[in-house]
Formats: sequence, structure tokens, C-alpha cells
Amino acid sequence: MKELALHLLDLVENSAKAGASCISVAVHEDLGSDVLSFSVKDDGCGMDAEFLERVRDPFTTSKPKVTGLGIPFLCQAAEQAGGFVDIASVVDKGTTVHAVWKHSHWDRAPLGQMAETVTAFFAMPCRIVFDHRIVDQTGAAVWQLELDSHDFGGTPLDAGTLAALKEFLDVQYQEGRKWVNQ
Amino acid sequence: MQLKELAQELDLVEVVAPPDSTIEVSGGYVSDLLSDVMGRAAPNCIWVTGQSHPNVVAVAVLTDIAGIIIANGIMPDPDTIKKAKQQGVGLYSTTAAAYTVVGQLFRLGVGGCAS
Repeated sequence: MKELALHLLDLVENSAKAGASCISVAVHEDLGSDVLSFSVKDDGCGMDAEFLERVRDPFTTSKPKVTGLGIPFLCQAAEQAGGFVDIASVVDKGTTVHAVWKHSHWDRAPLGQMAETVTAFFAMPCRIVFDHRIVDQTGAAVWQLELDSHDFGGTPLDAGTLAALKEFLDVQYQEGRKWVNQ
Repeated sequence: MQLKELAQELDLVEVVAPPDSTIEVSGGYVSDLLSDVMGRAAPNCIWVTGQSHPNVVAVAVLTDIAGIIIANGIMPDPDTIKKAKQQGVGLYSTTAAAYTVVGQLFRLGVGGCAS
């Protein structure tokens, strides 16, 4: 996938499909330690140990033949850019996926269309808690975006609110991307 | 052109033999972006890539690709070789650059096959 935002959307869609009632999404960019990370935590149906072991394998997903390549592609994207993916899951409790990249790695795909992607999260029928922060070389938090669907009166948001949110995010991300190279 | 003729002409190293090397190659595609290959490569084509991850085999199976050429002297990961054997996907490697491989294929009459 060309953009990391598509991987993030895929993770959040997985959580929604797992029947989550609340999904916490964190994007952290730490330019001092040169790390970009995604963390997606849900309270969905979770995976058992056996499935968890197979989830990175492109040939053993829940569907016939091959499909559900989201996690294998994410692993590849992270590993080819000095990173890794950690997945923790408990049946009936939920799943946490943590993906890490070396921020400055040449083969790290750009973050991409975050405003669209984050707007799409809030069109989902569960509570979304979103946090994106950028920490500069000196360790100072220079930009942060915190959104909780509870503050909008719950999800899914209506079309008008979603459009307003998209506009807000466009402005925020235009500001935020000034702190990083892309 | 048949897969085996093509492998011979390009002097490819056959890492994993295809189940049927007499298969007629429909055309060629070159890309390192797997989602792009899934969306655009045509069935029975030969795919030239610099990627060596096991995911390439999954993409080849999904897209019914006749064979994978891993170019630029990159060796496929051991797990990629294992998956290709399990799934019956022809896997070749070459020290030639992807650009050169594509040029040779074109000269042999294997055209582009983007769908």
C-alpha cells in the first residue's frame, strides 16, 4: 500500500469487524528517537493463541484461498523500513496492534491522506478515541490532535458533522505536516 | 512464449519450478508495490519485482500470475521459497536489474499486460 494511512484504516476496520464498541487509535511521531508508531486497541472479540500465531501468514487467514492480506502487508511495510509489528490479543477482551517504523527510513511510505482516513473512523458505529502527536528533536510536543466521538455526541456522526470534521482535520493536518518532512 | 522458454532465454535461476512450465505467458508486469500488482497485473503474466517477502507469493496466487522473477540479484527469503513450493508458484531469480529483465522480455515479444 502506498500510504501508511491505508494500513491504519485497515487496522481500524479489522477492529470494527471484530465487534468492538470502543477503538483507541494513537499515531505517535517522535523525531528525537526517529520513530513513527501506530497503536490500535479494541475491545472486540479478540483472537485465540493459535489464530494469533497465523495472522501474519498471508496464506492462513479466516477466508478461503488468500485474502485478508492487511496484517502481512503491514508487517512487510514496517520490516522494510526498520520497524516491526506487535500484536496482542485475548479472546472476548480485544486486540492491540502496535506498528513501528523508523521515521526517517527511505523505504517508509508516507503517512498519506490522514484527514480523510480519520474522518472515515468517525463514520464507524463504535466509539473512537483518536490521538495523533508529534514530538520534535528536543522532546517537546509540538503538535497534537485529540478527538473522542463521545464529544460529538456518539458515532456514527451524521453527514454534516463528518463534513465539518473533515474540514477541521484538513486545516489541522496542514499545520501538523509542517513539523515533519512529509 | 512458454514459461520454460522464457526462463531459458533470460538465463534465470529456477528457485521453485512452476507446476506447468509449458504455460503460455500472457504478458509481463513490473512493480514492487503489491497492492498495485493485485489491482493491475493480468492472469498468467510474468511478474518482475525486487520484493522478496513471502507476500509476493500470496499476491501471485491471488492474481493467477504464471511466474515471479525476483531481479536485481535479490535472493527470495527462505519463507518465500517455502510458500512458493507449497502454493505451486514458479519462482525465479536473476542478478540482472529489473530494467534489463523487462527489456529482454520485451525483445522476446512479451508485451505489457496491465489490466
